[in-house]
Amino acid sequence: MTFEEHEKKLMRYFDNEMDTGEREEFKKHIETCDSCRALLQDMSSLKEVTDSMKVADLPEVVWEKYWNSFYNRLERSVAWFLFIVGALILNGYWIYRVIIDPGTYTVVGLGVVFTLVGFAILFLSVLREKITVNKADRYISEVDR
Amino acid sequence: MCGQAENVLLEQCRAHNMGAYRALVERYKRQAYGFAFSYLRNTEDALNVSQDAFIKVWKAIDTFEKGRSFRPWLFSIIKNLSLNLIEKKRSLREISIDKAMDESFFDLVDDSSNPHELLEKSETRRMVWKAIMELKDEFREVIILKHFHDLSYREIAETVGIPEGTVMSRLYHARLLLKESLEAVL
Repeated sequence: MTFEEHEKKLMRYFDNEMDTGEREEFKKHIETCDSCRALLQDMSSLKEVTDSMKVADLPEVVWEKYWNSFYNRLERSVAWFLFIVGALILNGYWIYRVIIDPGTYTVVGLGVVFTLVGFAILFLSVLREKITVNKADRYISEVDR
Repeated sequence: MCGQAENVLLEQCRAHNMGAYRALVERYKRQAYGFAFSYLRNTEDALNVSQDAFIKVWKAIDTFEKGRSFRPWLFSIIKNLSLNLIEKKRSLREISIDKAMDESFFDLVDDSSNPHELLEKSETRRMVWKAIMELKDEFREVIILKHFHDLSYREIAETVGIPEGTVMSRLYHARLLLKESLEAVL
């Protein structure tokens, strides 16, 4: 057995990841191996301490508000999506109307230009921020995995 | 929650049943927060990231493979969101790499009424947590997932995106490093 195989077996034994037969077989080895026994003892001491630690709970009021806060965020993300899609459809339609009848829709045309310029600035701003983050971001491809 | 009950709940979530989704969020919110906190060490950021992760889950629930365990998927999303936030904050210089550890993160599970014993255990706990935080990211995450969230090797492998053999190897090396650094207290 290579050292790597041995260390993996030791981990699987300690973390209870072995089936009964394999566990019994490895237990026999441990009884005859001082270094394995010493290492298991050290790991047990560590586990004893970590088992006595648990994540400190936040005040109950935080958890009571958690769902509402989450739901609001979810709702806003859906609302923003619908708003953007709606604005794009409306602007597309207005542009079409302005092109086919420029004289009649000067005021609408002005509104379209302002809205589109506003969108373009927002889009470029968000895009620039994303690019800045992504340049230093090794994990982006894993997020949507 | 047993696997079958979780599968039923996930199935209802796939049908965009908001009641089922709320049950899922209520079930995992504390674990999600705790796991995010282990990366971010900031309560507000950890709460925000855990909620962002649930939003991602909601949006991508249709793509979640049936029969797959939910927790590794949720944790992998939290991990990646947390790392992205850390990178973003670093690039904006909002946080220091050597950010002080939040020692109030852990409660001691102890029914001992002896104050000296409690103090001693508290000090040991603080040193263990500090030693874990000082591990390299790849070692720290497997220790946290195993020791504080009790994930199986398969679940850790899914969460981190590495083979099970690498999980064992990282756990082994992480524990050896902890043994060395905590020799005086363990």
